[in-house]
Amino acid sequence: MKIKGNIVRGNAKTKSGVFAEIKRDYKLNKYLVFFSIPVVVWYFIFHYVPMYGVIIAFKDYNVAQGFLASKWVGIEHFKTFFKSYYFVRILINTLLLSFYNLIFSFPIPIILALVLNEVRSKVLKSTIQTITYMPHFISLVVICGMAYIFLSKGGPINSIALLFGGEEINYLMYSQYYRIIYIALGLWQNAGWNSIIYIAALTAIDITQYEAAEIDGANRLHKLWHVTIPGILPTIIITLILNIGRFMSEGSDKTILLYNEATYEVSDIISSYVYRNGLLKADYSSSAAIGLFNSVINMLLIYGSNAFSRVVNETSLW
Amino acid sequence: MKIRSICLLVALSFIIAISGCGKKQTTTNDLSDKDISFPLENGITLTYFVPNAAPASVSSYNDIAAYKKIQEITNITLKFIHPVANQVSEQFNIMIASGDYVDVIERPNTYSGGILKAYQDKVIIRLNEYMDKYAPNLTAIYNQHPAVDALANIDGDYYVAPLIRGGQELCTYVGTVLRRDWLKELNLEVPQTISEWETVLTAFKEKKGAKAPFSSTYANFKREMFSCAFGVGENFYVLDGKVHYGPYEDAYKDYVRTMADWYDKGLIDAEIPTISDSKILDSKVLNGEAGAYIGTVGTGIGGYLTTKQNDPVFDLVAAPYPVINKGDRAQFVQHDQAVSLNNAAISTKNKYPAETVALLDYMFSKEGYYLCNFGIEGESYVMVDNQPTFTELITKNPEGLSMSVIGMKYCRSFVSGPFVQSSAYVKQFYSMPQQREASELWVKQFNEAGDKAAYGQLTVEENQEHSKIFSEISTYKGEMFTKWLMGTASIDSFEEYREKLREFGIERVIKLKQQAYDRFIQRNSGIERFDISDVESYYNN
Repeated sequence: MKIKGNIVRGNAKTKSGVFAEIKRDYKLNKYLVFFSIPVVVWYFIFHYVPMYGVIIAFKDYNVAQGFLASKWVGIEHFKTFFKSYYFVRILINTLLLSFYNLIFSFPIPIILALVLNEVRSKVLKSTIQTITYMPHFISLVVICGMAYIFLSKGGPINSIALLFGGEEINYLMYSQYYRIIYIALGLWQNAGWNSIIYIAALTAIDITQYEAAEIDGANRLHKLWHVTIPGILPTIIITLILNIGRFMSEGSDKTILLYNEATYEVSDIISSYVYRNGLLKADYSSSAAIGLFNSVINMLLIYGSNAFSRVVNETSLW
Repeated sequence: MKIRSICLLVALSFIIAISGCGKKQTTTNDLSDKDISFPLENGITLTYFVPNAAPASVSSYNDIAAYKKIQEITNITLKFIHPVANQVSEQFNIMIASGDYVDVIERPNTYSGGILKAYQDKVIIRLNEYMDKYAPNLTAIYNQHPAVDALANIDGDYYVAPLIRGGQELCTYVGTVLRRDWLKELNLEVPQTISEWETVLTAFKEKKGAKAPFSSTYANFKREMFSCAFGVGENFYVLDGKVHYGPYEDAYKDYVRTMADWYDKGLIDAEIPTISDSKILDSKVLNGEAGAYIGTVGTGIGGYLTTKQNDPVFDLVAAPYPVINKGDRAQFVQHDQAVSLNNAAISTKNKYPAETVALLDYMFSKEGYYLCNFGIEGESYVMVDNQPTFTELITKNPEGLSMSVIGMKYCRSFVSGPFVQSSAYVKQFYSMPQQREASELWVKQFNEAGDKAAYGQLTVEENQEHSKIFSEISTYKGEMFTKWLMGTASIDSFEEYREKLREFGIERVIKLKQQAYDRFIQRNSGIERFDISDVESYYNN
């Protein structure tokens, strides 16, 4: 479809007033405005309107009385959470798990993309790509079920261990293995999928840069270092910022599927705690309070990393 | 123009959102003196929220023959609303939050804060005012059996049509079960003491090659199956009028030490903390990996024996609740409360409270009792010597359906509900000698041990405080138990653990329970024992 209007900034000097400016802007870009309406409405209705529900974090929310009529208790739920015996533990567990996730799950897709980029054979390249991103489409429940079977006594891993004179261990019952299993499963499932964005970024690099580098006598490693990586650096930075923004929101699904009482010590994270105490016991107010706390931290993190990135290498989300 | 219409849309959606949450509270407590007799002259329709406990038999309780008949007799149409399994609490809360309650709510305890809170928040109504006039059967049962009355009211008020279990065998049905054929083969007796248990499990491990000599779902393992030998229960209980919390007692240490020792020796299934699903246990028992386990009389004995009926050797035997010294009495035996209040309550949105009470009371009449327990006379049961007896359609189904599956197509006795559950039903349900033996053994042990339940209901405020403190305690206790069991924490840390429980406020929780118990005892000071086994006499004259 052809869009007639150009995206032009209104010039306030020709006709004064904000409304006039909006009007002119609208005239120029009315088709773009038109296109954006569904998205704006969707965001407003489904993402902004429900936010009024956050007030239950400050109330003793009771489903029968509803949002407005429930008793106001101020920051009581936050206090209870911060004073809770489990607060420090779940906070540390969440941070550690997110940290490990960041240092392992973030660079590996990049490395995978770079390696694939160097593969000459088209068939081999697409085969590897397909194989590595397939696990992304397997349901988490199935993946965790597979992990149970693989890691339990009598499972393949233990059978191999026995073959070499090792001992049978049910790995999911010991807290020292939990984080490794958690991160490794995530990697296995998502490394291939996450590398797609980098592979896409790689194709956008101007081929003439490589030619120029070759004329200057660069070998493959030089080209990788001086052309490829700088070429995808903006993508890397943006994904990094987005990842940091999700730092505290490690999902509860995988944890709930993998943990048991024997490993609570290292496996219980904020979201699984919210699930157990908030949803299972229908204590919606305290789970809303914990969720709000989580979101505030995430927002600070994303703002911080964005600002940092803007200063350091002039790439940022906004 | 466009911008204006966007603004309008935005404003409109806001109005919709805001108006959605301010809902009106309408209560219909009209107490007209109308007389109600069935069938009603003008039929009414009631919506009825209840989890479908028998999805293998019926897709809706409307398909249960007893309910069809009841609707015919009363001229009240029931519209059953079954929440999706595993989402009962979510769907219940969504229903409450929408403000559009159904007329009859089974499981009012699902309401956060319990039945009393549900009444306080105007979700359900109190039945006191309706009892005399519209619930003649319930009132008569309560008058004839003060013990039933004591368990059915909360500080003098009635909120639900309860489940009343008509016999001890309906309350006590869980215990330890062993492979009888293995015991015979190894020339061993059914173990009675803790040390005999150790001998038997060791023999299972060494001579039968059992990978998991003793197994169980973890939830069942954390019951009083072995702690009873050490004189502690797994939860709150009353000894000499004082409320105790088992895991806070000194003797709990000895119990945990023994379990950890067994675990270390490989007598207890190494994977026990991860067994959350009974299907895992099923396969371990049926494959001969486990020689002893915790099971129910119904599925844990009857179900396994039926599955293995073509196996000539496979046989099971129930073990008594263990003791330390031979000849001692077991002190704690599993026992569900004889009256369960987590049953049919009437919501404030119900336009026909009087008719609804009358309908619920009908289930407690003699006809209702037979319908709920045995279904349709001439089809699912016949009277033999004045005793309702299931027909062969139920007991030896020609299509090969199990008794509970075919039974639930006719009546509701196989799952709980608002009626007097008949002991005659369960005696017929336990059709195998091994089942009857187990049931008799455990009931006898319960009667010897005595009822130690911490009766009494917490008030709304007490309950709030209790659940706040106790949720942390139970998480901590569960975790420490697992660590001790697996040997990842030393049992020497028991004193620290007790100190931690004190820090959480265990003393306060015990005090709250004590208050509730004292109130209960004071109110019912005239009653010696809360044994209601004779409640069915109401129907026998």
